[in-house]
Amino acid sequence: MSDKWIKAGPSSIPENLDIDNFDNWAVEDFPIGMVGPAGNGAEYYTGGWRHEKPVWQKDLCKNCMLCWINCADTAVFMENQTVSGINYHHCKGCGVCPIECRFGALKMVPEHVDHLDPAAVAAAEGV
Amino acid sequence: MSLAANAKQTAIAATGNAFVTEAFRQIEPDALCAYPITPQTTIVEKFAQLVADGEVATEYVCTESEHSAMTATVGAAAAGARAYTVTAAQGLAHMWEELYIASGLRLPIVMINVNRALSAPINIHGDHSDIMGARDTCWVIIIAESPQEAYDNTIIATPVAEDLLLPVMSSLDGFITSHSIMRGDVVDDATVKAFVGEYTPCDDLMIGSPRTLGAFANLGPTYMKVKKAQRDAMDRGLASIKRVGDEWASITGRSFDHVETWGMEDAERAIVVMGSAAGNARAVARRLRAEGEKVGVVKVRTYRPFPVADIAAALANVDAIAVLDRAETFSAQAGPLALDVMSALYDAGINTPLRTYIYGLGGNDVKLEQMYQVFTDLKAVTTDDVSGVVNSTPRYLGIG
Repeated sequence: MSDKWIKAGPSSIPENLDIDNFDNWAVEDFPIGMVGPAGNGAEYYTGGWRHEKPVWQKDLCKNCMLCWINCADTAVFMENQTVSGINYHHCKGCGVCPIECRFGALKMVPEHVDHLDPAAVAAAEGV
Repeated sequence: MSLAANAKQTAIAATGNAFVTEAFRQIEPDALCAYPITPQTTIVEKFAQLVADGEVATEYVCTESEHSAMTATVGAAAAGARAYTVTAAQGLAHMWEELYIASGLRLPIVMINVNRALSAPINIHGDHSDIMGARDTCWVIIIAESPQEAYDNTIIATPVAEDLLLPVMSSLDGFITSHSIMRGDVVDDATVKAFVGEYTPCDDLMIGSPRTLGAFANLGPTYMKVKKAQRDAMDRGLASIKRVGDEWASITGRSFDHVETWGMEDAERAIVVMGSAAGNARAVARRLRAEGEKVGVVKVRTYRPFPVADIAAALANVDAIAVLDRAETFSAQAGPLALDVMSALYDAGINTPLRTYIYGLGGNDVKLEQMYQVFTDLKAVTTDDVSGVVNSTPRYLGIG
């Protein structure tokens, strides 16, 4: 085993981690304990797993933030303590936010519905 | 530097648990996160008292369960602490998933396991069923025969864990070793502290920029490559344990061998055994030797990684072997220790007749007559024209 990991210091992720060549890493190239950068879940888009999605209606929203706090994927965008939309890159379509919303500002529709088209949303069967 | 020159040893009479607690007191880990369970309770109770009395600076976390005990220990270790825990039986089973996490994250945790039977039915006494559930967890496992060994093994465990970056289990038989008082020697505090040394963690999540420990390894060969790194570390285990054991031996005068032999220079029949029952086996072997019988005892002290070469060397010249297991696999002819012994012999091309036994489950009394029975069984085997494993199912000793 390579000593470089034992003596790496406060962080065992080296500066020159060759991420682009990840598929070809040898056994000893892996940082001890699979230490890796934090917070890169933001770059891993899971929105493609949905088959239903929530549509948010601003005019009905009271900014109570129940949708935000219950979202398992932190997929409700907030700006200045105001809801500003749904993060469709990460929303997995679990359907909890419409259940939590007391004001009817969220509705689940099939994935193929264009959520930017109010008529299409209105016509869609709520899921 | 010679620690040996300044080491002082003091003779005390204490239980196995007390010896282990004393080792912990002297090492003074940064954190002990544990949950009480018989027969380990006197360790955590005493250590909690030491913390309350300000005798150790250890952060003591009394978790609500053993699963949390190991999780907390893992968290503390990831934060750069020298973090230890203690458990037994159902507790070890309860933290089973976390054992793999501790080794997968390459955390040098030391855990004491006071070997106890797994339920059901409920039994709080000593056997090896609990540790056998941890055979494949990539933990180093060292098993004590006596309170003295429990003390020495616990101190040896720390440098080994920190050298291999793998967690280490130091175990002792429940009640038999944990609660029996025996005479032993403890080394002075300063020497123990110097022996285990200052702890420099490989990583410390409290320092530097935020990062993930134990990241997702979901696709392709990544997971397998990381496991191979664990395998490579374990493959260095025997050398590391022996080196540390020998260093401790130079201080204490008590040798460390993965496998300890008695009478094996010219033994014709041998018992292979692990833990406290080695004493029973030797007691009978001595009596038989006095009658001219050529018998020997092979005690396994390092169980994981398994000392394949040492076992094969110890058993190379006998005419019949008995392996005694204090736990079951409930499969084929062998308990778990017997499986390991058999594969070591196969590896060495040895096909000596071998009998397998199960003894002492749930703390069932290991009477000398059982050991006599084994040596007598082996006598029959040496005169028959057989090879390999002789019995199709292990013989149970001590249940009539």
